[in-house]
Amino acid sequence: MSYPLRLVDERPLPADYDGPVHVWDVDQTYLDTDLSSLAGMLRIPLEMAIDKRTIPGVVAVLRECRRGPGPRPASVPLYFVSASPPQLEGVIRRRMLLDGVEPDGFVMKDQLALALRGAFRRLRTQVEYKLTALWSLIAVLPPRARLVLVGDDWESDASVFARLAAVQAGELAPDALPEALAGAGVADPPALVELARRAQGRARVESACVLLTRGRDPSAFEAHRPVVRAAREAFQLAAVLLDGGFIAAAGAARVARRLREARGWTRAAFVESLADLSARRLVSDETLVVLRDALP
Amino acid sequence: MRKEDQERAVVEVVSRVVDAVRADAAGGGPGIEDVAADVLYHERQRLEAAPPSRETSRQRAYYRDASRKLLRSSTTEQVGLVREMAERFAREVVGHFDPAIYALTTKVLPVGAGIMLNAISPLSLLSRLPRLPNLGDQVEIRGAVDTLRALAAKGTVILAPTHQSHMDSIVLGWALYKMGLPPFMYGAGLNLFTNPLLSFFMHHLGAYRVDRKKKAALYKSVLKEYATVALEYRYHNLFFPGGTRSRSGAVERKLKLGLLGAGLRAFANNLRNGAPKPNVYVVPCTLSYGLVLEAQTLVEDHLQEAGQSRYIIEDDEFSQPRRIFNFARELISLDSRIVLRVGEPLDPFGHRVLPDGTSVDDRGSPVDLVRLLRDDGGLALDPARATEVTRRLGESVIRALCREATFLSTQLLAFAVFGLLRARALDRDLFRFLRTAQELGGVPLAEVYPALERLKDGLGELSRSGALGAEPTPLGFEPEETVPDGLRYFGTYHTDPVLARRGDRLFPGDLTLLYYYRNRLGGFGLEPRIDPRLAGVA
Repeated sequence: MSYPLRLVDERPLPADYDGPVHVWDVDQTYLDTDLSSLAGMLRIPLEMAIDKRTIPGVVAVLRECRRGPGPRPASVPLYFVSASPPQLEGVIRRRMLLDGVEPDGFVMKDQLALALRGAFRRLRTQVEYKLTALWSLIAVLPPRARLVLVGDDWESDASVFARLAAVQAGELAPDALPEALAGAGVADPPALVELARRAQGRARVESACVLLTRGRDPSAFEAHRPVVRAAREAFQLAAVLLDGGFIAAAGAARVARRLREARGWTRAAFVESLADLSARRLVSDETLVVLRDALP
Repeated sequence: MRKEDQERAVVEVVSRVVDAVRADAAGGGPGIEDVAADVLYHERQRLEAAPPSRETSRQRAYYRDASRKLLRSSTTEQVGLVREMAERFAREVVGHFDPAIYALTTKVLPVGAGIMLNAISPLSLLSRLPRLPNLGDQVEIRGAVDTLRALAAKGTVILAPTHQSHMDSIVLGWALYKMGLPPFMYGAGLNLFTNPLLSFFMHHLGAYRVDRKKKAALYKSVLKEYATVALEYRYHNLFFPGGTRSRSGAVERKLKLGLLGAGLRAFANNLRNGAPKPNVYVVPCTLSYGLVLEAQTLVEDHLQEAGQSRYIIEDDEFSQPRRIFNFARELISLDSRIVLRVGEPLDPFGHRVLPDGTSVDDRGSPVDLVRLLRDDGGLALDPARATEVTRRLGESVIRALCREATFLSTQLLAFAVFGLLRARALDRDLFRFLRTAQELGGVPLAEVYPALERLKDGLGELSRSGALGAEPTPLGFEPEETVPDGLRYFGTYHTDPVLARRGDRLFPGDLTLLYYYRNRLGGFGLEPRIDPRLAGVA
């Protein structure tokens, strides 16, 4: 039986599209959702769009991703993969409308269907869902699309991104997936293998980044370098995206300005962030120079 | 009007109206009996269509009785009857101002309403603490505010705003308070008094009742004279020169001159009476909303053939408390701004007035208004001359309203998208286009951004030429911001999104509303900026 999820694609891209496609997580990457407490979890379905908070600076980064690196807005494809149920799609869309974030599609986990099937363990596990969601999305994207993945350090985004990238690059055979995912709580490995087989060779992962909103140490993600990079905050995320050529230098400057104006970032905070980028060699020296010049 | 002035105003209005009727009759105009008969005819017609009520029965009985009296009355008795009718009208029209209610309204209501509207989302309310939400924060006031203040101290002001929504009176009332000005008198349609809560505030905040269903010439004379007397008593007034809300959404280009003419009459009377501060200043101003509460009803009325005759709309969104609540809630949740722009003042002849109160002509030379009036045969105004002067004032007000027009993201985005769609179907007339444009599909964002850039250039040129003010887009106009901002507004409040984005295209959800919002920029010759083929297209 196939994994129950809802996939919405509102952007039929031309078959020969070979540009970037941004694929973002929602909770703890875009929305500052409290996943650490029962009260926080219970509040999620009750919150209205205006109540939902966003991770500092991330809205600005998302808008720059959408805008692209050129002099004019390019409406670069932007999709969201979320473990939230489809019932929350409306409120998430409304929040995005308020923020000026322009999604082209969603993949959402149909938790109600899982519960009705009695698959309660799959409600909690994320690796199987996330890979299924990403390969389902890849199936509807043009074969030469270049994926830019952004997630967080709360679940297993980094390992999911790394495995996905390996399969798409032909470095990990789909048949080897069950072994590679042993212990990740995958309930239906053959189904995952089949999805991977169909998606293999399509839509390579060009860049992947996890935002450390849980505050984990970046060294925990070193194993996934160079495919996956860990950004401590939105400014570093913008830096990684600038380094990859996905946003403009002026875009990174706009993100910095937003952090300063709305979140009270001081020059010292930017300098510290840049020093960390440099120390971890997360971006090139050229990008560091550009970022220094772009500081507000 | 304050309580102490109400009685003398009624006496003054009635005596002036009756004197005018007698003078007209003596000068070969309608006879006194004709004036009374006109009232009887129009009032009976109105009462026939009126819903049954105790008040309707009472009025019917009065006019039956008046009709019998008229049949067997002498000229003196006819004058008495006309006086009686005029007094009934005057007592109905006269407004009351209660300082205690005003204080409550200005100090408590904006915060109270802000809390109530935010209470729908307690989390949002808590996040704002300790600062309490205030509905008044949504109003941005710009333009010649200092001049308005200065002139309000030197003479009497007629504020002449554009009219988009019944919200206008409330917003203007608040803005005047925020500018440190005393409350202004204003005429409010009788339909606004049907809501008991609103009626309470209207009654106590100086609104005088205007029953547009009353068609008798005597009633209109009473209204005009009441406005004139109020100006002479130095009550600043608020007249919507368009007479009613703009149905199309466009800036008014046709005015009702009746009440505007009251300024000239009051000025002349002040001079005659040796009033210490005789000057009357007309101050045009514009109001711009990102969303308009009654947009749906107004534009549908505009598009219907009968639209022009439906001067009074009693069943619009303003009569639905739930819609008002939703609208105000969106206003707060979108942090929406209402922009009020105060224009350069004019004198009753239509000349520009400097901050020191001096009238100047087109070349900037001072104009002596007293001499202007004297040149016309003394301080008594010749009616034909007064009509001509008021017509010229009307033209100056229209130019000022256009010049002070300001545009927000919804109007800018609607203008661009509507134009791009319209250019695809020039073979269709407007009505067919509105019915069928959905089949034209979406408009790529890649076309919208450059169209907005061209529109921005066009607005810049109009601003530099003086046809528009220095700040036609006071909240900014950067196409990359205008698109998401406009979509934010269009995706909320209205039942169907006016415009929605799917993928990299914009799709009209409600084309008539898109038309309504784009119309704000209509008439400025900006259409060819969107597409050269739109030059001269309706």
